[in-house]
Amino acid sequence: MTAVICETGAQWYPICALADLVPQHVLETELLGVDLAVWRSRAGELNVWHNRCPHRGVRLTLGANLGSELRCAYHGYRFASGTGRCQALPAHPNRSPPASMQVRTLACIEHAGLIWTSLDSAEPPTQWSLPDGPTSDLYPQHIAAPLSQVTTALAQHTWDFGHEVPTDASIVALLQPVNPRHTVIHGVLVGHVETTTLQHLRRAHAASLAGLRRVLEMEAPA
Amino acid sequence: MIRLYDYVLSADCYPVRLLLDFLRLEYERVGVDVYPGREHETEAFRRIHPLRRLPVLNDAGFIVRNTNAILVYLASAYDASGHWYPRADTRRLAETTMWLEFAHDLASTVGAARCHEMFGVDTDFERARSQGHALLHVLDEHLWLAARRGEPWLCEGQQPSIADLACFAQAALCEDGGLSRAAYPAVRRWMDRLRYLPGFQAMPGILAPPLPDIR
Repeated sequence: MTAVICETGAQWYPICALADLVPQHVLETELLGVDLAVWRSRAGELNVWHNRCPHRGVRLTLGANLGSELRCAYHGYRFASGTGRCQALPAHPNRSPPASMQVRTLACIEHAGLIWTSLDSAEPPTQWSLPDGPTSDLYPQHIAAPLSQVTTALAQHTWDFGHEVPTDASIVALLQPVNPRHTVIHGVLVGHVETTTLQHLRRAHAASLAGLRRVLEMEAPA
Repeated sequence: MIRLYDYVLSADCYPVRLLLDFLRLEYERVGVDVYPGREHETEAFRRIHPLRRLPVLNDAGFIVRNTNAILVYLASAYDASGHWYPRADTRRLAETTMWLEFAHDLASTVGAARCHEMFGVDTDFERARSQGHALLHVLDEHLWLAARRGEPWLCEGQQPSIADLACFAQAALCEDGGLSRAAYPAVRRWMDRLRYLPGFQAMPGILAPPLPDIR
């Protein structure tokens, strides 16, 4: 068992786990200070959108994931999975929405059970530095501390997973710079483990990083 | 006849209204003007609750006071399915009690911060907020681990309990008290699960579940 911090490809960052994108849900997160609305269509299409309705600027995470469209909570404008194009204006049923009525979308990809995106690059990395093998997601730890502090603390962190740890598995920590004051440590377990072992490791991993968070948040200025 | 002494903006009254609606019980709502009227602090209200708090339930003359007691009473008396307050299942019963106590802790931190911001209630605001965040981290981690075991609610099994309602009210209104939910995505998913349950009723500060599509 090893715990490694993974350097990610240029400007591509993990923002959530695939398992977090449940039906009827729109996940809210932030990457480098940009608010994002993340959802999965019924057909399995991934959407990472700017969290802003192009009509009146309301957060799309207040809206509804209808399966193949996201509907804004404010005026009911519906935006298509994939393109972010407005499909319908409820107040003007006979008018087709202008092409400019479109949510700003970001390129995204699923890798190792996590969803990755980039604010600048449409091309996902071709090489990943994660070890090969089956993956299980671990609890994402949200920490009110900047990326640099979290990186340093993580490198010095003493992991304690108890004793039922398979030797051929590894735990990878991947960092999401939320904004200048917040960071998420995403986690992936790579390797085959029994269900009960996985549950034990998930609890131990979450408890271990919660300890790291409490120390960092006490040190970080509020 | 069930009568509920209620304040529409109270995070302590809301779980009771939720349960009454989920159980499809008819009730008479007696609105108490807590803010700005401070009607609950009058001598007249002392006869309804000696500690001058809400909520208070009067079921055909039987009086029950405070959120958790009312939830336990209503679920025990009126929920034939037995899942809201699982008296027959010792493990779920213990867990439900534990999370009801957790909801009480949320009320005295997250809820206190909200009462400070919305109603000018005197409290140590910074302390309420920081302790509230510590509890929300615990809640988020618990819900995430439970979901990965295939359990969607606070207590084991596949059905929600009254503890979900009590904790939901505090978590869903936390932003009124200046506590961001950004660090608690598992809490947001659990809130959506509850919002989509048939019979869910919203309140000011909490969005109604999405309506069927408007075409």
